[in-house]
Amino acid sequence: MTRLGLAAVLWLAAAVPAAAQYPERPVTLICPFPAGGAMDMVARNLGEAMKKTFPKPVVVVNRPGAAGTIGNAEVVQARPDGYTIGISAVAVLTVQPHLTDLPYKGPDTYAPIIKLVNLAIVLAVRSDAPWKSARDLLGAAKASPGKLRVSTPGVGTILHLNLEDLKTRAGVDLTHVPFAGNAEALPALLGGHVEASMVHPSEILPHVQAGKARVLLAFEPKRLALYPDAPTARELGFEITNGVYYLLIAPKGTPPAAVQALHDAARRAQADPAFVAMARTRGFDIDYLGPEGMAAQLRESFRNNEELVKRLGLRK
Amino acid sequence: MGPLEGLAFGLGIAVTPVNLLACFVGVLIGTIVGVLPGIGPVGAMALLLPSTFALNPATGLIMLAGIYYGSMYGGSTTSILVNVPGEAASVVTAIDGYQMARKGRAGAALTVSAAGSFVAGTVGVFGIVLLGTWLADLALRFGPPEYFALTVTGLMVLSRLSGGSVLQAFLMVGLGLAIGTVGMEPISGVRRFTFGSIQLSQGIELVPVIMGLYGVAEILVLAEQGMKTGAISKVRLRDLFPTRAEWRQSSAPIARGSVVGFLTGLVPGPSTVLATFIAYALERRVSTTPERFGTGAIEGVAGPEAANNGATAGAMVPLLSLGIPFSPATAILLGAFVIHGLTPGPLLVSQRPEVFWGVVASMYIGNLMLLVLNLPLVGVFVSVLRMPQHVLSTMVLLLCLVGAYSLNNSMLDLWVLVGFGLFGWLLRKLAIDPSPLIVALVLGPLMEKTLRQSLFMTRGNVLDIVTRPLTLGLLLVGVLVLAGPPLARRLRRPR
Repeated sequence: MTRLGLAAVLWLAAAVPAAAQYPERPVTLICPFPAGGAMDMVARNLGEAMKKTFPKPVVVVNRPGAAGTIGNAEVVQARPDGYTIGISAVAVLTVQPHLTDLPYKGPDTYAPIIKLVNLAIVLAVRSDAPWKSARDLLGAAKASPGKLRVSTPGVGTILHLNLEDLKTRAGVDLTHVPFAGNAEALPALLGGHVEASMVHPSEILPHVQAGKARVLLAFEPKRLALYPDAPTARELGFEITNGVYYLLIAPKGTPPAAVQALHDAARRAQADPAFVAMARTRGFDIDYLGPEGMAAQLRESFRNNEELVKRLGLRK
Repeated sequence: MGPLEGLAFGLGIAVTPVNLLACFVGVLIGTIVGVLPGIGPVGAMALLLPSTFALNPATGLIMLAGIYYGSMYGGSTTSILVNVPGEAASVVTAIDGYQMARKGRAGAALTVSAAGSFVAGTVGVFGIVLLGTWLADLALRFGPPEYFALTVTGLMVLSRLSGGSVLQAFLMVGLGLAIGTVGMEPISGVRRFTFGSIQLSQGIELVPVIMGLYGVAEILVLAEQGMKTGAISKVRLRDLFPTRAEWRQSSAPIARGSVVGFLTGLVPGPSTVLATFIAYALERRVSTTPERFGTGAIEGVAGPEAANNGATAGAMVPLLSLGIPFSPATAILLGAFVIHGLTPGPLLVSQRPEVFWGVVASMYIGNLMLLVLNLPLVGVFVSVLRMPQHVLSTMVLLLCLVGAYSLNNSMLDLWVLVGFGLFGWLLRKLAIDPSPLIVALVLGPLMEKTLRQSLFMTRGNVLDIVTRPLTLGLLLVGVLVLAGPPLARRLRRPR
């Protein structure tokens, strides 16, 4: 299938002289979060893996700031020639536009290239906490409304939206304490300044392994291999399966041949052993959707999150 | 494995030829980015992070960590020689270091800086080894309310760093706090003072403000004075080393700076910058001759220069013991761990002892290398002053611009640099000290964030925040430090 795609690209390339040259110089991949973070890790590993089949280097440039919206805006506003693309995440693309005015809105204002990975969300407590299960925790929250504090890595993150969704559906009052990223929230959980935390599986893993923390609930369609004892929200009767996903995007109007070439190289990179190994240790599930499939999922996320943002009154 | 056995085991790993080389490359790059104004450790580490892909984990981490603490050695060089901080954590060094240089004591200041950094690095390594786990647990007891109290106390104590007019200091603090609110508020995402500009929503970064206020402003002042090269100190080679009296004056400040810096490293945020301010304020307070500060007191160089290196060691504690980075530089180190499939955290030391102990032990070796590397370089650096003023200034200005851009690849940071350069020049004309602005810009965002988190935690109950024992204790310390000396004077006076 991919070989057929490649053949099609080659044929197209031969037919159209202008496209024949793509890529004639390195491609800039803008990562809207700082070097060393989770998304940077995916971007750099992807760039390395793409080198093996993409004729020119894919150079990662970090353009952090304002919850990823600055780097993302730069991608969307770049010249649509296939030489500036971006890595992005569901919240940057489908939550932030509902919170503020940005140069991009729905998925028709940019060109999705490929879905890369999913990142699950779980609810964790300290291991010396009295609640052995999510039901215990929710029961305790019902008994003393507002007493239990739950951290998120920030207002408007998918982790926050899931928490608010859980509160509504379970009819409990939990005190939400937002931090600026989970690197700040985890010390607060471990130090007992909040009772529970919304985190990604890999973030809490070292503390679970060290016997300091326990995962109670997973916001996924299926139980996680990493935490098989933690039920899904669905099992408890709450249909909350929102995860985080990363994808590649290009500015709207990027030549289809360029999008296709980038897509094909990234698709092959997803199967690269080094990329697969990185994904496993970092708790990412490699997941694939092509440009159309990705656009469809983004449209759905965009609609759902608009509703959530409105219901929670997050738009100032 | 006990801590000291571990350190010995780590030394065995760190002295393998490839790791020694990695350590040397790291500290050399660190020294260079430290010396070059504007380009700081975070930018250099981010740039070199991908190159560690090819190395084995311990080797890659040894190199990156070397850049981090190595930059603290180099940072003092330009502060002392040309009054332009080599990186953000060397601003305070310029106050007395540059005055020393003007009196022909540049060599002494540079030597004391290197020696102080070395002592602090050594204290730091042993701090990590012997107290790491205990300190990490202590850091966890600091929740948002405790950090809020810490920042309030810090602001009270540090806002009048170099004396001068109270009113001016308060104005500068207010301005610094205001500047700190620009951009996207980090926990709820509200955009403030951005005037609809997406660029401004990233906020105003500390580093371009510092490089503008101190670096660019200094160059503007020099340009205005014309080509009076004679104003810059002539350094004779025999003045390179500190006198016996200077060593004596520096030893206690170095010891205090090492401890204070190491502990400050446990505070989230730009702790190396904060550590230098605390160390300077402390030296001024304990000195029997505080009036010498600002005119070339060697204590004002020794304390802060030890403190910033101590802080890099302290910042390694939460990373190595909890796997949680408290500062931008350690966040990049975390990235380097992860690239190699390692998860730093409580289990790192038992699962991958060769990485944990190798990195820790390499820090000691790296500090030794830095000392050996920097002492002979003092003479080389001092000879930079013989360069024609217009060439040197142009180079420094260019480096400031490159360094500011390298932070976030952002044009906004360049405009901030230029804008604050002009503002800094204006302040120099008015003889207003901008350091309270920097203190407020370091502490303000942390203070606001932790206050808001505390209020989220207590659902708006202020009393719940200030009655936590640690919070109350920290606030009392602030009040005592501020009100203590004047009260004591008043009590003594009636006699």
